[in-house]
Amino acid sequence: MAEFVHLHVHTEYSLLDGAIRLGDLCQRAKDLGMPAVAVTDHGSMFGAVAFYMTAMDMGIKPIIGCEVYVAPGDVDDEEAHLRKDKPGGFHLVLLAKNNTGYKNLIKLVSKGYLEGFHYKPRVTKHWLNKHSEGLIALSACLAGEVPRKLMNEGLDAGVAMAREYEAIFPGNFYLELQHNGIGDQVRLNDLLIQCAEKTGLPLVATNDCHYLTAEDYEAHDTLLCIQTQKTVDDEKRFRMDTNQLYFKTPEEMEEAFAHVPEAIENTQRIAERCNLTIELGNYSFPAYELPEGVSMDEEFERLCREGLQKRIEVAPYEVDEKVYWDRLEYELGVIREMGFPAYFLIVQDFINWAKDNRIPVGPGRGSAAGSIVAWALRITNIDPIPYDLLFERFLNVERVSMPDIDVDFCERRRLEVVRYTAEKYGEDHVAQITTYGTMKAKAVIKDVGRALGLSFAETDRIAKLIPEDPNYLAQLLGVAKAKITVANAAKGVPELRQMAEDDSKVAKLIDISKRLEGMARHASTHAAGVVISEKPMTEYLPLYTGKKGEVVTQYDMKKVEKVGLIKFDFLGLRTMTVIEDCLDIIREQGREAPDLDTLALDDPKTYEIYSTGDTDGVFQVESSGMRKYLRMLKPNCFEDVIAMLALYRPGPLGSGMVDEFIKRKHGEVKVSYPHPSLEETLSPTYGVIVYQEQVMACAMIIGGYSLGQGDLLRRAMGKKIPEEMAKHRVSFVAGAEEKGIPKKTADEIFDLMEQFAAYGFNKSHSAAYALVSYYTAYLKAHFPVEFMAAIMSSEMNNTDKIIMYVNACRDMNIKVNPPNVNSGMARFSVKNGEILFAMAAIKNVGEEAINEIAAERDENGPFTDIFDFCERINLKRVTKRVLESLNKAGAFECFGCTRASIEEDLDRAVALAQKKAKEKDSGMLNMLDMLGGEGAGQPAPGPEPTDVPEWEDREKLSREKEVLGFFLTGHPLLAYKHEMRRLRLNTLMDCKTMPKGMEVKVPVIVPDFKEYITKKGDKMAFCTAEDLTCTGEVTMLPNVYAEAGELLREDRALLVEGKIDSRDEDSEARATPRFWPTA
Amino acid sequence: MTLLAKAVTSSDQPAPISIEEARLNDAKMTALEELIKRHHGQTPVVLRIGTPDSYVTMRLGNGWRVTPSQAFWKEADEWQLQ
Repeated sequence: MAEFVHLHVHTEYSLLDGAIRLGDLCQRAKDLGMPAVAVTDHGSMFGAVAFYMTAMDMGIKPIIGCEVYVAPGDVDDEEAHLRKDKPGGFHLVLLAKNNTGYKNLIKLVSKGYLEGFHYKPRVTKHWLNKHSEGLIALSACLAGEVPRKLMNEGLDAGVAMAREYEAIFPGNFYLELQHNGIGDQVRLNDLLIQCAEKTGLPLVATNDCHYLTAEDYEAHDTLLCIQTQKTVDDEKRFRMDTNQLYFKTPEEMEEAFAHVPEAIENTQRIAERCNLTIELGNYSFPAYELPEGVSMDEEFERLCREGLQKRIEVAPYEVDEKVYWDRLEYELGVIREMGFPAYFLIVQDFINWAKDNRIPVGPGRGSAAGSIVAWALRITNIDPIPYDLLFERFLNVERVSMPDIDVDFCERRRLEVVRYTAEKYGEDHVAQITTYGTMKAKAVIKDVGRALGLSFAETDRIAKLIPEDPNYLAQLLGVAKAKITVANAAKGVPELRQMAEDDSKVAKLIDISKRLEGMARHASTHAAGVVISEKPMTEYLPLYTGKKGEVVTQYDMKKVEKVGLIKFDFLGLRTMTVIEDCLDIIREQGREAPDLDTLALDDPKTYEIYSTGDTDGVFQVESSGMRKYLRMLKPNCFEDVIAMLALYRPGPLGSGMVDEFIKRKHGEVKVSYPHPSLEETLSPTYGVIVYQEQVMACAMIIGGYSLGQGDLLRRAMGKKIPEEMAKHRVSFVAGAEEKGIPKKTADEIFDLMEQFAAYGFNKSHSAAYALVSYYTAYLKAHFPVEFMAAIMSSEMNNTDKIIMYVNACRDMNIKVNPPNVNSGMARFSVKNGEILFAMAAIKNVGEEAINEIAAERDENGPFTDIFDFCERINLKRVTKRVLESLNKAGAFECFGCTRASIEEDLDRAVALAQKKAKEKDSGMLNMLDMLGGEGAGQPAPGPEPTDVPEWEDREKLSREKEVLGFFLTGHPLLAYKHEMRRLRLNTLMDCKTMPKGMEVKVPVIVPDFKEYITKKGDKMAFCTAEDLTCTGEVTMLPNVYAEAGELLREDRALLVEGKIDSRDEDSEARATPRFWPTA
Repeated sequence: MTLLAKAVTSSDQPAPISIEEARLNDAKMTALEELIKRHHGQTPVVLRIGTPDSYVTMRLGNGWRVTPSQAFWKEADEWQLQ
């Protein structure tokens, strides 16, 4: 066993600073015979629990620490953290000796972020003094406070500072020696040894490890360039002054410190003093406030029973009450037995608060929609009984795990719910959860390429050679399964291999990328996860501040649960915002908005939307592939919509299940059942097993399983574990035989279940999302103008989507008018049955300007002309640039004059308005009024607006596009609308779903293109193409570019004949059509 | 890659005009004849007549050829809607 232990180590969790993976670290320590190893990331504990778990698994003692930043100031200075005159702070290594130390470390690190952040998360000596128990401190590198004093002010100053730290950490402060090849360090080591002799403080040897082996130096150096966004060739960039900050062997360390052997021995002693056990796997629920004298279970049951009674009373269909009450009692029993009433009470509390405060909440998400308790408590809004949604798919007594209720809130107001929980449970009891962005294969190539100074085109070309499809990569490698990694791609993709062989720069790029791939790159706030704790959050884990000032855990989702916190998923679902906005617009029109909670699910007009595939804006069914299947299926009941949502996935589509389902619905294939007893379960899907719940029900009906056991079978089938499957087959067949079903039939049914279980989908989730989809289809069918206005508002920043919806409006004969300063709103609105473009969607027009315009209009009536407008508006808020943008968008057309006239008058109007404002300020106008001068008391006649003919169409459209991002009142291609049919041309939208290599003819305009020079010196171009449906990319190879390059003038209508190149297509809905012209 | 305007004029594809069968009568046919005469040219015309079940396509004779300019399409749209 080695005597040396590394106590100062930066891992990948010192984001973009450390380049050591936790698993590799522990393995290396083990290989080198070290009994323990510490992790001391910069300022944070992001990797602490992950490290603890990894080390424990690998039989290495984990020492959890942190290299904190100490703000200048002495121990009595309570406000040192507030002083922000100097950036950063002094380094100090802290190690947790025990649980108390771990908790103190958590508190210090959290305070550093939440209270002391200035460039870096800083702690103060005052805080260190308060939270020093259980901690060991090392004086750190050259950037530590004691080293700085020694180096800058001499031995005595250093000794004094060392004593200050010793006073904070009595018996636990060590002077840190390093042997790292940095010139100054040699002098510092001498001073530290002298300091130790003067103070009696112990010495300890470390190596401030930032990478694992000496060979990783270059990768780490590149990582620093990625962090600082510089290239390796930049002479002024930040770099380490040494290449020795690697995880040295005990022999190397012992040799380096042969003259101070105690510094090596002390590493071992410190390791022995650090004995931390983190409790993992125990849950503690936040304290839910109960009425006096009432137990948790009693309150839970009361709310469930009252809730179900209300649900039954208002159900718009007939209800067999006994079925409902029996199911409730069963679920209550299971939830009580599992100890989860508190969880349900907490979830229902914030959901009902949101509903009571008119924050739209989705009807359900995931398996929770299968619970009648969730429905009774208004957690979900879908009755599980009519759709055979199963509770056991959600909570299974045979497989105890925490319930997981995901909730969709209106995207805009989601944070209000988070704030509510913080108010209810205490600010220090609620936090959002972090998520780490890692350097994945393509991303790491791009990052490293940039840092190495390769051109964008070169790096992009290499990144694109990394396949997206793991099966394809596996095929190239000749193996059954392969992960998408740089290493695998470099081995399997011939072009990439060749490039690396031919070009040393590419070889280096690949080598460094392999070393850095998969490491954490940055921490950000998870889009949904929120934790609520019983005790203050820092009793469990460290915190930091997110980009928007939110409090975020330093541990990710899985680790948060490991340390015993209960997480809740608060998702933001844009569709809920669309629905609420649509209902608001309907009310604004003086019409009655439908009550979606009691909406009957049999509306023919709604099903017509699905059957015709006219589903722009309809939740989950917008893609062209889905539209195609909807037109074939022609859904006419809610079960069909649920099924289609479950079936439209690669597995079922590839297996032919969807075609079979459609044929059965239309009677083209006879509906049959594997056994007559399965008819009731399988009839909603015409005998096809579509859902996991159906697999569970088959297990129960045929194999005599309980639904809980059926859930285990369903999971086993999904995971395809042969041993488990064999066991299940035996019990399934035995159960069937007991029911008198022959073995052969039972085997066949088992085979069938196994086949379908691979594709089976969670019906509870499908049903809940089908309901959201139905809401949107219903609104589109009955309130099309309001719905389209709402959906466009939700996609205001996505020009492609706006183009798509404006075109959909054209097809629906809904007029979309330009913005209008006299009636327009920030968002898309409805006026006289037509849509009014959103003012906030005009470039350069901010919220402040819109508010100013709306406030003045509401207070003093509509504006009469541009002079009136400029006079009444505060021109500091609505600047000249804003005025120009409004005019280009057509927002002044309400004055009855051309955009050209407004432009002509703009300078005059602004000058006059400013003059009048000046006169008003100086009191001149008041004086004239007072003296009863000519015209006093009456408005002076305003200046006459100029009458200039409108800009030519092309100019008008081009300016419109400049500020809206697209053509609104026309399009250069609109003139060719008929010709598209005559010439049988394709649209860019068509291209999205066409296979690679297919020949197409697409009329487009090319708003932008970039020219590149190939290695051979030829010019080629990458173009952005746009038509009436969406945007795409056209690659003009040198021969085509030479011939047709001169045609690339902005907004000129072109006909591109070419082949589809959809290599980067990752999903149909998001794909950008790419193609290259053949002539 | 070509200019769309050039592709349009050089194409010999017929110009399709659609109408619902129920809207077709003598007056409508006369109006169509006049429309075609006004835009007489070299491009053949196909008439797509919508029936409740499907569309039937009729290719008009050589004397009924047009120049499919934007003005032609504008008038064709109006003819369809009248």
